[in-house]
Amino acid sequence: MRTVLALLSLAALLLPVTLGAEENPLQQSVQVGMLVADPDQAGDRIEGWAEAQGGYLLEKSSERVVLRLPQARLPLLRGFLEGLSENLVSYSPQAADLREQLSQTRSGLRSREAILKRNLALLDQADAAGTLAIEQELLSLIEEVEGLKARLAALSLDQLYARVEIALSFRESPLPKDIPSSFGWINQVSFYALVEEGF
Amino acid sequence: MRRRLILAVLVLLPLLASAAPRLKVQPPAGFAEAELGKGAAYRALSPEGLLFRVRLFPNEPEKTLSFWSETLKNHLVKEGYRPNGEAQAFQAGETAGAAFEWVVPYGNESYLYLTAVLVTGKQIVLAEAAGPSALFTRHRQSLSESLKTIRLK
Repeated sequence: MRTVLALLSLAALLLPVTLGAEENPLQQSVQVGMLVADPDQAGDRIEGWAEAQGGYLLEKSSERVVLRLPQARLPLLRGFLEGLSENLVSYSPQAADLREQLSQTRSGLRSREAILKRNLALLDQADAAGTLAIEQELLSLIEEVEGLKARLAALSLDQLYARVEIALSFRESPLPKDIPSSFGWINQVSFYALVEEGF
Repeated sequence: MRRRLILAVLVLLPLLASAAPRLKVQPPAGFAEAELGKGAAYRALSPEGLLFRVRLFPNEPEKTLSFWSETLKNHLVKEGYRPNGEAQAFQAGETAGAAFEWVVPYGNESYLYLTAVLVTGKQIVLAEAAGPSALFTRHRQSLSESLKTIRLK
């Protein structure tokens, strides 16, 4: 049991945490509302564009699209969506400062790793009752260290990728109606006459 | 007298035929040319039934492409058609054209409706196509290529 615990502790201490662009302390996000002619088609085009920019899709439906986009590509988003939509109803960029969370998580991780090392050293000197207590403490510390590392990795991802949430809506427009023109040929231009002639 | 009349008709027929404008169009890729319907100078259909139609109208009063494309745009907007982007200028041989796309609700779907206008001297050429937006989008490029092949002689 001691060996297993020692190995688990070592693994928790040694597993690297992938840290992203630490120079950027901001997590950026954008909330968008837009009117489109065809929400499904718009969703497909947004997904294709995001992937071409190095981003990825989190969720897609006829009502909304959620994606992650490299923060460096965020300035291109608005122009792309304006070209795609009939009306960009809302575009709300937001930024959250991650410095406090990063700092808390890192210091929590450092202190737990220090305790973990100290407890590991004590393990060999402890009697049976002490060993049990230390083992329980070690297991709890390993869990905490892993949780903090996962949190740090998630924060690192937030530093690199913006979160974009796009609400898609289709406006039911009134049907075009016939209004006479003074020019005869223009009176003959009609979508409905054309589609009824098809097939 | 009767022989003279027949002779006159025989002489005039080729002249009348040459006076009528002749339209040449390459069908959009994947479309098949269809029988001419009422008033159409050219018709082609995609396998899904998306219709591409070209009609000719006299340029009366004689005006430029700029005038007729603006007039058509303003009229359709007034009727309630919603433009899908800006007008696209194109060139069919030596003739300039202007194409508009419109979004139109039809049934439970959004349709896209193309209207393209060319003006060649005494004739206005109107090309139209319409279909559900996903289908239309698939054929948009080939429709656009076909517009560039319109020739009027």
